[in-house]
Amino acid sequence: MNCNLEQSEEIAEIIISGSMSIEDAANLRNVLASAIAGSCRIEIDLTAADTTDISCLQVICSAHRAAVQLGKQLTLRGTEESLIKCLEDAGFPRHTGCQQQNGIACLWQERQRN
Amino acid sequence: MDMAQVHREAFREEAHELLTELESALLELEENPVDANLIGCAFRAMHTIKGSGAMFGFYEVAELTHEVETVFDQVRNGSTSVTKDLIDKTLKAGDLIRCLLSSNGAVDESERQQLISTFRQMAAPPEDKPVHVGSDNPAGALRESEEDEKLYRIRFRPSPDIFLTGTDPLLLLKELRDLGKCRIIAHLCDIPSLDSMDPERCYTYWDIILSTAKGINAIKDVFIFVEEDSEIHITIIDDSGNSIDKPIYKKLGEILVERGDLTTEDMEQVLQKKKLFGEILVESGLADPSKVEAALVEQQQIREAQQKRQMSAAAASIRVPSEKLDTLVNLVGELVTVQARLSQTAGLRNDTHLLQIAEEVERLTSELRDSTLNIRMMPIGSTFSKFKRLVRDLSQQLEKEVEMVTEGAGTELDKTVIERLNDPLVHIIRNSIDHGIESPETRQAAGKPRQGTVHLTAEHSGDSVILTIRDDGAGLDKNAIRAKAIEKKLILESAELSDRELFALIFAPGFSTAKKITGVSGRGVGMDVVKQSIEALRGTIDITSQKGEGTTITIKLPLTLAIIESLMVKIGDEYFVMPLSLVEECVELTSNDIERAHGRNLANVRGSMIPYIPLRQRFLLGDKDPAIQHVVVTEVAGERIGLLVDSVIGEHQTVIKSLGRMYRDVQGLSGATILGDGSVALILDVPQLVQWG
Repeated sequence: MNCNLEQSEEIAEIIISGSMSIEDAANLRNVLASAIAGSCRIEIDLTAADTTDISCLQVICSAHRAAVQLGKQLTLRGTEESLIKCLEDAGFPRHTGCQQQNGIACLWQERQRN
Repeated sequence: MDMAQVHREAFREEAHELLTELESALLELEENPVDANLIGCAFRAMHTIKGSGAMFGFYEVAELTHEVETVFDQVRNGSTSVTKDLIDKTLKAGDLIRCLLSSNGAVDESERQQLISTFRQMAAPPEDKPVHVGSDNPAGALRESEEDEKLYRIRFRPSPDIFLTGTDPLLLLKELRDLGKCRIIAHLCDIPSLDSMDPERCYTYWDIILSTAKGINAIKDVFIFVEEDSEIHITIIDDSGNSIDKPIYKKLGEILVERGDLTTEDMEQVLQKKKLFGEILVESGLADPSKVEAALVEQQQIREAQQKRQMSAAAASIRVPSEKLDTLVNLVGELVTVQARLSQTAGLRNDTHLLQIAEEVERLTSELRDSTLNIRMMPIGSTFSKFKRLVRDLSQQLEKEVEMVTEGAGTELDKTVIERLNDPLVHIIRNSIDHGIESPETRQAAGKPRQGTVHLTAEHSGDSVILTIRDDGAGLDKNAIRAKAIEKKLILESAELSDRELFALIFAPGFSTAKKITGVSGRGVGMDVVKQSIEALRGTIDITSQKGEGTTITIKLPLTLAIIESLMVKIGDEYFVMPLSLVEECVELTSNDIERAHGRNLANVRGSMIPYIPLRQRFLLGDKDPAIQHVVVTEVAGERIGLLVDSVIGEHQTVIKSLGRMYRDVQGLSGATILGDGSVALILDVPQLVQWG
């Protein structure tokens, strides 16, 4: 996995490419933590990401909660077919919101193929 | 009849069909005691009879079937094996249920109670069983390789260290997807905050709703390498064996309570509020949204599975009373007649437009006729399974070892033909077992296998079906038949008969060579009735036999009794039709040919002399023969015999109408049909004409 962080006070853009696996989970957590700490809006660009495993999905999920708790915004961009397939296989997409966020805004909400 | 009675009647009808299915499954199970499909079939039959029986007030039936079903459920699960004893008892239970379902419903209550207690003993855990059921068929544990589709709820909570063991839960989930239709909900509520999380630990757990026919073992196999460290709960939440008459959907709260995700108290408290249950739960923080969602998915999946089963059951068949079909066939028959008139009228007027319409109507009528007659067609297999039971019971009664082999169970015949075929076939099979197949000792002494075989085959042959009943028994004793025929003055002592003619004597009324009368056969009633019944179906019956090797009885039957392909002939001003299946060829016969035969009714057909029946004289239709007549050569009971007519008109679609009561006993005619111009043509009963001579 390649993970590039471009950050300003306003926005942090994390561009991920390749396959996301357990080896990348710790690195991903650190990148996301610093992005959340330094910017108001965090955008994860997954356009070039191929696949992901559960460990990286957990990290993104946790990062989203952390951002929301701090009143910041974390969004996903460009979830491609193969990535959506991974999300579906993992059972992540859902219709309801996140309990930790009082039922609103789950990162995985409605992220499935029609 | 009120609605309750209508339902009871419908249940009776359905139950009889299910009992037939059960019986045939049991008989097959005897040979293949581990066949999961057959076990499932027996279980489902009992399950349905039990459910519907209780619903329609047949409580005695429901009580008995419940016990049988319990044992078969154990067989399904592999905790009990199929034994001969179980099959015997289940067949007995089936017979008893049949009696209970019959209109008088009179059965020996003590017998019913005894069966119930027998099945209870069979179902009891091993330590409670007073006697071991028997090991004559040690089926062993039944592997659930392929069974009915069931809906499973799986909760999979892997060990937090699962990633470190090199296992990717995603792969396990994919394996589950491969087993069937699968909905997966990941529970993310345990994922900690970013700063406190160990990215190499698994915090996610899953609820999976899986619909599969592969069985629980296949699911367990997916988790085989992680089961020790993981929390895995697999529950069947919907079984296709369940009655689909009343789909049962569990409510959201019930599912959550069942899963342990919600307490009953909390559920009841929430129910006080007038809002969507799931919404209230999430709002009040009593359940995680993902858990609510997982429960909703489960609910939806069960609903879909049940609806799918309901729809497929509804689409598979529609039960229609046979009278309605008879009416439809009659109407189609009328239509065929009217269409013939239309074609004839169009031909006479020579109107191109009318001819076009007539042709179109002819095509459509022909398709409609074929489709309608097809609806009445049933596979003969249902009758075959009854005979398997007959063979089993008779061979036990007569202490013989007999196996029945059937072929062509899928061969289709008109429903009425199948129904009327039952009794003749029972007679023939009884005779085969009683007189044909020898005792095991006699067979062994003759160098034959101890077990005799009765082959019952059905096959299509043009517009007919040929049924063959072949045994490898002692064969017919020609000398005994001849002696008996002379004694009964059926033939002269000097008579020279071919084998076929000799064997045909056993169809004479009261003819029996059996030295003793058994409860099964030997009274000489039967074979003449068999012949009459087959001929009443416009069929023919023929016997061949070889002493010491066995006997073969061949029955040729028309596919349907309603409309037949026939050959139309004319004598004087009258039209006649005869089944085309009996016709071999037509040859001309001139007055010179008749002269050359010196008054004998013999026609020279390519060098062979064929006797014929002059129908003009037989039916007293005037005495002036035309210069050229036609011999329609038919084959009856293996003999070629001609029917002399004035002219051959050609093929004809004959809608058979029975003769009125007044004419029912007229020899040589089996019915009538209405022609295109509205006139009537009589249908020749060829076998009877030939017999009449």
